[in-house]
Amino acid sequence: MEKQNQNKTDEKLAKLIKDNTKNGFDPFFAERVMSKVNSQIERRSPIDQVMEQLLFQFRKMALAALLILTFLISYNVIDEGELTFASVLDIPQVSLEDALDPINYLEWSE
Amino acid sequence: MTDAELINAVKSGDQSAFSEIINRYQSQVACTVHGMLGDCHEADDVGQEVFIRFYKSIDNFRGESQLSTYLVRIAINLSLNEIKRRKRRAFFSIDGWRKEQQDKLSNNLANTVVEQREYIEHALEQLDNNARLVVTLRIINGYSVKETAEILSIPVGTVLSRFARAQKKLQVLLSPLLEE
Repeated sequence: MEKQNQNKTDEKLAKLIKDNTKNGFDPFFAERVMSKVNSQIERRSPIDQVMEQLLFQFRKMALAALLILTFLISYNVIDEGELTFASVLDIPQVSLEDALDPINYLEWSE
Repeated sequence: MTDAELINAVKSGDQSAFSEIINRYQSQVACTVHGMLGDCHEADDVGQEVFIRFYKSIDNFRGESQLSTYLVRIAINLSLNEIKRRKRRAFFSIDGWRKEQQDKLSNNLANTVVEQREYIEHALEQLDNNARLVVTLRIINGYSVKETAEILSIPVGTVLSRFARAQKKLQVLLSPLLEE
């Protein structure tokens, strides 16, 4: 019995709150939103627009760039026959002595 | 048209599709915003901001949740921001005076429909944000316990306990209206 009364009170409370809360905005809400959206699009600075375009273009090229990178890395690794940082980036092996040798320096500068 | 079709149309620049989305979901957004903020001019601004934010971030919408849920979540976040802003403003502005007027109002029994509405809004303001969110989603938006839990990313048990506590408090605050 007490539980039934409690349920009735809960229902009454819910109805009271729901009936007294607005469930819509003032008329022409969609038109107001659209006019704000349009004014914000028009107000975008040229720099923002260029950046957006760049980002869009780079996103389109990202997959192609990834494929090329994967191909180049695979080629370098297979060509060198070992998997090292230098082979992945195809960096020539230069010893410390060669790098510091002044004769080599003179030869390079010529 | 389905939501997914409308979103694709908006992405390809069809503005009338976005108007359709607004018309389809403005009622759910309005329930959330009015439940959290009451019937005030800020509620309309927040409602507009919900759709503008969605428009700006439409590319990020992956369709993992329903569009209505996504919009209601934005509405909740923006309403909570507005409540924080209100609290800051209340220190110095006439909002303090407004609150005093509301307190006076709540001391008298609500006679007219408008007074009754303000009386209920004032009672909802007495709840903390978490409780008010649950009441808004469960009673005003009409979401189930499970849906409310999903929207707020909290366990079902937490929704139930928060709702039960809020109901108790509201029954006390609104007792003059419930006894009528």
